[in-house]
Amino acid sequence: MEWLTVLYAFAGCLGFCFVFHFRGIGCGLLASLDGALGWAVFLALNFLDAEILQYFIATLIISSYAEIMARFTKKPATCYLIIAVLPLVPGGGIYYTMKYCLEGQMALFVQTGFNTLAVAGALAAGILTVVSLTRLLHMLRNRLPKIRNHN
Amino acid sequence: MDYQQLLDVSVKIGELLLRCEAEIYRVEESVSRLLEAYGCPDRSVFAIPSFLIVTIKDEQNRPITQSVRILERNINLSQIHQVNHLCRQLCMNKPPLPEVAKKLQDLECPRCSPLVMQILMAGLVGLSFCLFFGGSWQDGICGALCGIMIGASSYFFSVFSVNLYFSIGMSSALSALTALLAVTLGLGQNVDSITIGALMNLVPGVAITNSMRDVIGGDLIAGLLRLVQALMTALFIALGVGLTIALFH
Repeated sequence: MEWLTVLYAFAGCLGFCFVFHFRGIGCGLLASLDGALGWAVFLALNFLDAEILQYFIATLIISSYAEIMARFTKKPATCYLIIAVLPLVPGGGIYYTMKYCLEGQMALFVQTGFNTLAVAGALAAGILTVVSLTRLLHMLRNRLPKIRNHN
Repeated sequence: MDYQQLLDVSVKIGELLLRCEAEIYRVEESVSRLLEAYGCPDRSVFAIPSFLIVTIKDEQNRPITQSVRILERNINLSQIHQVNHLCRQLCMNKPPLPEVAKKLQDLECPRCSPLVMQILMAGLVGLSFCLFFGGSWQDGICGALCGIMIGASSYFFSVFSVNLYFSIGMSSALSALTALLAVTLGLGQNVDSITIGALMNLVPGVAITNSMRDVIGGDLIAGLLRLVQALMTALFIALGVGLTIALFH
């Protein structure tokens, strides 16, 4: 039953392809597949019982897939990435955070809020790790004479 | 070389990218690379989600600056692809600037998905995320209805360019109302999963992830702006839903 959610994640991502104006149904399907993959990895790692780590690893996989697909289809990796992180993204978390804030449940507000930030941080760290590694590989392969400072 | 025109073109590229919610590093890098390709060694580019400022030096070493304020931003992945593609081509081939200005004009109106499709797909998002968050099939259908409600009302408010947060609050209030009605009529059972599924359309999950990306990437101001925006969006969604539930429950 739990694995059916992978299918739902796929359908949800496909819907978002249109909402975010990602044209080209082939690329849309690839991006949605990436989203389903990410969620499947997250579920498969449930035995770790460490939510933040699961998010981090799932994002590593998603971003690698996005970078590879970006090379093949000549589209920026971000296009795939924005669609594919949607099932992982802490949308519910931020909504509940503000809901608790309005209801005056301060303990829950702080707890949910920090959890949401941690999840978002894990996702961002995963994405940035892969982006940096790809750049490094790219530079090493092209043997760029000067290494630019990316900060 | 006409430095003024070069500045016009590069600021325009940056503006187009910012308007479709590209990442800050992409905007700064694209503009910077373009200027470099056209032979502008002395340049400084600074972008935040709502503002872009570019300064270059002309042949007499006098600085020229141009800035642009970005008022409206919408995620548009195809537009990011197209502008990015154009920018790469420019950096490689360096066509004459008047030609480039014409190409940029074609990109001025971003190509969007058809409106009906957008609204229907908001329904699909509602359906799938309702099931995703543990709703039954009946709940899923209610989620789809609420999603369509959100899509249609957001479009309605955007036509009249109502304040963004008001529009978000009203859309989520209407969606919660639809969910409550559906449950009262016996169509669905679980108001919570219907509501949160449909609200995935509005909830700023991508925004908060991007804001963390900006912060970790060193664009602190951009990151903070996005974080505050995400929090405000979530606050108004919660307000809208809370209002409906308080009034009708």
